[in-house]
Amino acid sequence: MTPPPSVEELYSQYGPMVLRRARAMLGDEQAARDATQEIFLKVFSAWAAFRADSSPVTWLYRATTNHCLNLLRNGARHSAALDLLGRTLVGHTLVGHTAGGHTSVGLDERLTLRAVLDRVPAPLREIAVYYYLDQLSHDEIAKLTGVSRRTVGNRLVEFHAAARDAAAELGVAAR
Amino acid sequence: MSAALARRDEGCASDLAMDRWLLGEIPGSDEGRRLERHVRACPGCAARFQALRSLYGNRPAPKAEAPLPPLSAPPPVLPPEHAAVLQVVILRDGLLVGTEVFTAGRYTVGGDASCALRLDDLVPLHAAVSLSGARVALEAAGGPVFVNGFRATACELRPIDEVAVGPYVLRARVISERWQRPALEVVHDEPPVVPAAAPVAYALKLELFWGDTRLDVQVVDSTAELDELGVTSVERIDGGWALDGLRVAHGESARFHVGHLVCVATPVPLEAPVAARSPREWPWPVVALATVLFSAVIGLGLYGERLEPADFVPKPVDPAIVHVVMKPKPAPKAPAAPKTPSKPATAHAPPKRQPPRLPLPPALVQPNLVRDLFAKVDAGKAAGRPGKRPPLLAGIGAGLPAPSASPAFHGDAFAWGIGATGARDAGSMKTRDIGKGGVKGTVAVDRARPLNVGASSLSRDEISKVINAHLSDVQGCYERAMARSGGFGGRMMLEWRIAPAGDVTVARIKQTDVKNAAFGSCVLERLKTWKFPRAPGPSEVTFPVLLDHHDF
Repeated sequence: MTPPPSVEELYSQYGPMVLRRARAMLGDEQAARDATQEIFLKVFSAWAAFRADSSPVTWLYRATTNHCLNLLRNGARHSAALDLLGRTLVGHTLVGHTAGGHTSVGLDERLTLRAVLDRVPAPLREIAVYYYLDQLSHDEIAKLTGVSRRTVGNRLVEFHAAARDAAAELGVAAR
Repeated sequence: MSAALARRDEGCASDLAMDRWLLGEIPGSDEGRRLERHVRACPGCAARFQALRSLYGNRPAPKAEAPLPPLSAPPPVLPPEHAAVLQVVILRDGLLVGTEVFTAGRYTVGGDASCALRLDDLVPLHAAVSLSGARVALEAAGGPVFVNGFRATACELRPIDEVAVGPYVLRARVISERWQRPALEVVHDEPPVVPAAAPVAYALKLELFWGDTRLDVQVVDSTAELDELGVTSVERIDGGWALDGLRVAHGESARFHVGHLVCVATPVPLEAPVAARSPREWPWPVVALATVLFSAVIGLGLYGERLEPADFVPKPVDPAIVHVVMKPKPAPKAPAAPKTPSKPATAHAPPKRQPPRLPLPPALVQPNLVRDLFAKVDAGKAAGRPGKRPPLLAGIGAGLPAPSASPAFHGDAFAWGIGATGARDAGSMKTRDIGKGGVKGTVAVDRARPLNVGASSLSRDEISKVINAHLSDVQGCYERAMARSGGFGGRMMLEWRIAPAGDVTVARIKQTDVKNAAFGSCVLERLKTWKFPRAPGPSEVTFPVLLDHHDF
């Protein structure tokens, strides 16, 4: 095993990427900087678990995504990214929140969509973020998460099913 | 959102791919080349790429490094004392692709055919590996090289390092088992130890010549003998003799001339006595075996069972004359002649030998029943109707002589044949199978189409008589054909021409539904041997034959 690099090396090389990713997920500069610090602390302590045959970029990318999703779930903070994901849900899974194809949602609806997303299991939500927000292809998601392309497709279907179930529980009409 | 969806649908690159390119993970790879091509062609992606690049600061994007300069001549191979070899294990997608072994030197890795380690899907000159002594160095050339996940430009490789080159993973291992030169040992040549030769005693061979003719040869070994020969001074020296002061050693000769006589003295080695073998050299196993055998023989001779002497003494016997008296066998009883009303038995008729009959099983021996049965059969034979086919089984079928002038064989109702049961004992049938139980068919005349005698000089009776006499030929052909090809039957119309001399000149099968060519040819062949009575003119005969086979 190679010796772990220093914190300065990691931060100087991958810090901008992590900060940009956290900013895009959280939508808040200060929260993104805090998240970046926390992410690097986690990465540095977990460097031994890093697989040498995988790319550090993808590893950090995924760690950042999961960390930000956890922050959003715990803090219930407003996130433009999740709003975007919610609107995607409206277009794909839920009905009754669109009027004439207009996908803009109001505050109440936004809160409802966030509640729906919070009830979806975290692995499925992560896959949905990669697919709908980051616009990654199935192949890229498969490489990123270490699963097969077929599994990626199946998990997207499961994501919609889980969202539909959650919407039904919350009284939101589902398609 | 719709714009984002369109981005992936149009094949645009993701931010993650751009991050990986900007952080130096994919430049030079297929994925990196695809991204570069797309960014050049897509304004939206180009804008995003510039934005991301600004996020990472003004650090210039890594570019593909210039290919390495042409390699110089490989360094000379180190002497074998330092000949550690480099074993490169090549993996792709976790699967073993192959291994290569290199000696000391610098070797290129790439997709070009000129590379020492050619791997597909790599740039023509991707990297270079060097082995010097037991140390391995790696240099990136035209493409990125990752050592344990970190991009490297040049580094030294350890056995545990994994080198990612394009889609391949290389593992370099130095086999450092050095070749050890064998230590030189100075061996001084020593003269072989030769056992001291026993002093050889030489005798003296004296040859007496008269001119060129050798008269006598003597080998003397003692000085006394030589003294007798008139040699005044005889002395044995090492390797020869000294005769009157003349030294004659082994391999030399001395000549003494006495008139015309010449004496040639030559020292010759005496025959060395055969040295007795030391006990160590004795063939002890053979000796032991011989001893055991000898002991066994002696033991058997002493304690073995002694043979008893012969208890008789042959005595001479006077010759005798033995008369053998043969008791005459009783004459076999003559069988009772069949009582037939047409042919009563006469006292002059010789007794006819009947074949012995097999004894019947006890359960079937019922005197009255058997006697009655025989009586019925005999009665049927006498009436010319034995068996169950009275119209067809008359005549010779009962083993009787060929009918000559019996009324049953005349007229339009001409009917004769070979009986089924009666034919078994028929002595008149001289075929091999007849009479041995091989008959499984009958030959008969088609009553519906009897013998037709056309323009004929012979009478019908004359022709019928000959046909009847030779009908066994047809039966024989029938049985042979059935024995060869199984049972068959049918109707066959024979036609032949009789010459005035009685010979059959032309014979043919006029019509037949018998599907057996062998039978037809056999019948025609036999037919041509038949002999008819002489006649003033030729005759033409048409003769129908019915073949009926039955299994019993």
